[in-house]
Amino acid sequence: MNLQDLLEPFRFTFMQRGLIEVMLVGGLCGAMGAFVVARGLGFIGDAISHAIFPGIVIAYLGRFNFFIGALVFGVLTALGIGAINRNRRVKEDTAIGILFAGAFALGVVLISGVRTFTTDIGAILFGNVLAVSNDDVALTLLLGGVVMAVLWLFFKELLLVSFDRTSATALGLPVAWLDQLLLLLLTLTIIISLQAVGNILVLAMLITPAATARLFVQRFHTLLLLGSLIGALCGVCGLYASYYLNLASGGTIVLLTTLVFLVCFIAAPSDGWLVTTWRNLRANRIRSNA
Amino acid sequence: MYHSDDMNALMLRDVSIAYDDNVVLSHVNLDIAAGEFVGIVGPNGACKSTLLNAIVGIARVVGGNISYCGTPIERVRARIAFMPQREGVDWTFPVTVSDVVLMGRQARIGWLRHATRDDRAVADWALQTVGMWEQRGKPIAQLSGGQQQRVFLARTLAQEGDVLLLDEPLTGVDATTEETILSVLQSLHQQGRTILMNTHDLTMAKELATQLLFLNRRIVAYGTVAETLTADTLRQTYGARVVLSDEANVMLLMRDDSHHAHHHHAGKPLL
Repeated sequence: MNLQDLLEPFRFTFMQRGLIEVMLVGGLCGAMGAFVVARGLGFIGDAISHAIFPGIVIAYLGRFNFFIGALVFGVLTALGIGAINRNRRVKEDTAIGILFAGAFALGVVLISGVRTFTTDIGAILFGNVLAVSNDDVALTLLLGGVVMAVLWLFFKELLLVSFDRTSATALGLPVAWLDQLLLLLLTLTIIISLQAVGNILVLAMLITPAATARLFVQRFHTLLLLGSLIGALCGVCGLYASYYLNLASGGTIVLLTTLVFLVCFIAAPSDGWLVTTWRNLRANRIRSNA
Repeated sequence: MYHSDDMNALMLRDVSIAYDDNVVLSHVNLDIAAGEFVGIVGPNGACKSTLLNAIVGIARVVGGNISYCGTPIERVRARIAFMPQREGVDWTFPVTVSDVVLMGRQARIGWLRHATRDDRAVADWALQTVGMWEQRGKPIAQLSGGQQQRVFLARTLAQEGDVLLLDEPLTGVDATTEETILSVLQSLHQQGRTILMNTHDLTMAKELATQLLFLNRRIVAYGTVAETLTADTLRQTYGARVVLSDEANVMLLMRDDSHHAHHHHAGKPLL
């Protein structure tokens, strides 16, 4: 295989657009993932991605941009979860579980009446990054930029609330509203990522790159940057691989990301499985020799 | 020092505090003059932490009002520096020692801004003050309990508040940390800061504080050590049978429950 073959995918405009799209989405998800991983928001991320499904279906049935439907349902869900958090009468995970499963069911019932949904809805569920238009890429860039700008502006507040709610409250920060802001940013990130990796797999992009980065770094700032880098790289390499292997792009990207995590988990230099096991074995041997 | 009425730093008027609709402290009235060092003492479950939590806005105040220098407390939160118990946070969170200390500058930096060189200088000074300068780049997950406590103290210092509230700062710390915390508190007191410190260690409170607040789900007594440290106050705070002895200038307070099943309490000096 020569250079010509390696560069072949880049000749197609749809591939160029797809690669830019997955790079943006992977980078954004990796950065947001730092908060998801450090705060344990995986379940909430899953809930939001399921809850926007009926919004997409309604947009499809009404023949308007899926993005608007997803945004309306996503924001409503984020506000709903925020309200549950502020009012602790209901157990949080119970209430969220009820809401998002219900919303997903609504989506399923709505599409069950349509015959031709399989291909289009399939693209939403599993992503079809090769179908993105120039406008889609521009929208991703714009909204992704908004999310990153807000993260940058409120970074120290969001970090403090994530680490120590008690002190954040004592310092007079509006803790509940900062949580709400983080949920809205998470929702936007999920919606932006729908076209690239789909409704079901987006959770993997939110968690896995940041979890991989967490194996190497001990600082939130670097976690965010490295998570973003890993997300973007896995996105690009996964799409590239899916071209040659002729496999579904979203699934290949997520599989590659998972594989990278597993390899790092086993072989990470400081806390990896190999190093820890080796250390324990040696410690045991020294102890038994003594 | 300041003792006139208009110099009251903290004023609690008929304050009631609730957790989840249960009122746990009610009708608290308290005036703390600027520059006092108040030791808050009482048995477990006396609501010592609750009182501090209410002042800093964590526990819900359902009645009455709290003010600082005549201003409602909600509007001057930044001037009250609070050091919570260290169990309240996840110490595996990915931040370094200096990241945590810099969080104390939050209110000074303000919205939409990032830490300046001055903020970093204050954080560095706070780290040096508590003897954690060498560890500034370490992830907090690698700290010992005493070091965690000193990092929290450094963060509280970095806030440069007028009033410091400390929730059990000396619980479960090593000798070095205890020494550091005590010397820092003494020098802050000498600089005229108002300090409120919860502790279950009455001896420590008696030696450090200018005022003692005896608490057991209500204010039993508030005043100077000489005014408040009486057999009567102790009995009302710690329970029915306590013995106070003052032999050889060493005070010994014993809970007289040696006949009870609580063997770990039997004969153990509280003071």
